[in-house]
Amino acid sequence: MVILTVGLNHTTAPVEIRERLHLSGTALPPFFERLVQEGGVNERLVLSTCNRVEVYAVTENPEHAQVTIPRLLAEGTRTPLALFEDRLYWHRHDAAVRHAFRVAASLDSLVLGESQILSQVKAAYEVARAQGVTGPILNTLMTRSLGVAKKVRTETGIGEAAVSIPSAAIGLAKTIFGELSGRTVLILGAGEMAEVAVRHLRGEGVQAVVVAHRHFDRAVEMAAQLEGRAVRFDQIHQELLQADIVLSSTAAPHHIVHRADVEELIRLRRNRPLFLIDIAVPRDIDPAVNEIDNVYLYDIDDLEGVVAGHRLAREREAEQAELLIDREVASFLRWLKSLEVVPTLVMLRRHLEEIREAELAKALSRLPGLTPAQQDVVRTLAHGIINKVLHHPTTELKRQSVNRDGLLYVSALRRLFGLQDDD
Amino acid sequence: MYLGLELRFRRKVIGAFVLPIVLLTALAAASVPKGSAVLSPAFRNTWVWLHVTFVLLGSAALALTCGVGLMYLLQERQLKSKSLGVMYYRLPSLDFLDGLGHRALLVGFPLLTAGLITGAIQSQAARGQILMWDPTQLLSLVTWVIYAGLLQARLTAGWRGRKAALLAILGFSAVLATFLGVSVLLGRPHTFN
Repeated sequence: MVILTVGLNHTTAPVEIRERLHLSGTALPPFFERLVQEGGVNERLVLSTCNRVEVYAVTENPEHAQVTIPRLLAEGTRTPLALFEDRLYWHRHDAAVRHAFRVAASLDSLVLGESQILSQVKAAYEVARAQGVTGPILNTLMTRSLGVAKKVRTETGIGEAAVSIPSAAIGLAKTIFGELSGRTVLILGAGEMAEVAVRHLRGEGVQAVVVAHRHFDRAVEMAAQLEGRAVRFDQIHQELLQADIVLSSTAAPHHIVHRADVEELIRLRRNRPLFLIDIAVPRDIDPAVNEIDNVYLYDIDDLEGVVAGHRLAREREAEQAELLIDREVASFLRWLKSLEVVPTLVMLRRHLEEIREAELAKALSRLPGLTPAQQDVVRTLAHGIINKVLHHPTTELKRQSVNRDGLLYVSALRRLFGLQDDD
Repeated sequence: MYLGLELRFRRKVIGAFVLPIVLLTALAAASVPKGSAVLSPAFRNTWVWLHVTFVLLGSAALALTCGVGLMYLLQERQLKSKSLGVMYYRLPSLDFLDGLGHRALLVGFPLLTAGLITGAIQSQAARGQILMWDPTQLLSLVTWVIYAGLLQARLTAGWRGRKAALLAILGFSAVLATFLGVSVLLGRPHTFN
């Protein structure tokens, strides 16, 4: 019984290939069916996201599966095999387990530590389970993967630091203001970045959005889109008194907010903190403004610097996560080993023989007058009982072990007789 | 008091800054000469106990303003310099720190004031004059003036943030100096006999 992973991801294949191999919905049931018929696979699951297409399989014959799965993938998606064959990666056994854990924990993601992959893995598992194509091994592998991913998320800070510019800006705003609910944001100028940021800010509960633009009709238009209020550009000093966060991205060729303005402003605001985000190039706000107490000015380079720092922070956390995954892989492999039929039967026999020896010794010591021949009869009796008791479970277990649910018998047997590995 | 705060705000990091200050105070207090262990009867009365209680509770609150002030300065420095270190992720927001410092001041200052007044009443009753001109009394007046200035600046001039944090740290240095500096360095414990 071997766990096998075959697939490609954003590091091995460009998006043109990834999108062609995308496998979902109605394409899945026939693919799963052929995996059994032609691939000799017992358990299977497909994880298909925009960054990866992966098939997880449990099989008795990995060599055969390794040839069949790519062919079925090609036929299932009507993509020439030659187009992607050399982009596939293979993981077997412990490497496959580690891969599954790393994927779920977002260590294999394009953006390290992103949280979306967890729900994608969950969805892929639910689809496969609903179609009844997984079994005890993949069920456990997937449940563990989700558990490991959650553990990585809570025990390391891998998902904490923001790695996009809008979310980094929001992180900074939260560090200044604490809660953002009820705060006011002022938008100077227009731009896609400003719109994205406002959407993020709305999600954090920012209440008032004020838009100012050189062309008032543009401000009105944008304010309508962002459910805000439009003001004329010559009124921005009035608005700057109220705003908590200012997002500036005008096309002005020179500074529109000067140090002296902000000094006066902060006096009038009675030192209420002000967070200025200047994403315009050339910049809208005099950099010297940052020297004023209770004013925090970040330009686009500063934000990029923050994001780069956060990426490094995530990489540091990823090292912690890898250690955690090492432990989890070892624990999964121990569980997997416990499902092997032959070692279990050996252990069961040894267990019963130990009981027999102990009981025999006890009985013979209480019957000192027995002749050697009589002692032999007692020994044969004990031996015979053990063999008779073991006979049916042994044959039945061997027969069941080739079925998908056979592993459940193995683990039940181990549980019932309290069998444990020596190592 | 710290445990109450932790339950209220669920921020363990505050302890990392406030507990060392408390520990420092306790250590220094333990090293003060034990010369004043026996109180003369004139000082065993309600006023003395009130004086001690008010001063200790007030100092505890002011230790908190000092601790969060330090945290504020650290966090503000990271934001201003735009190099976000490990502490950036661990420290609470500036708004939270400044607000907590302000509230602790609002609690600590009246307690400190009450401590000084009860001390003065006691002094008047026991020695017939309010001011003995001993260094502890003088330093505690200096302390009071610093905190009064901070409170005034916060409430009327709208001071907050860095300057308020710096003044809170200065104020608590004065509290510490009052407590120990004088007793230890000048070898003259705040007289009880």
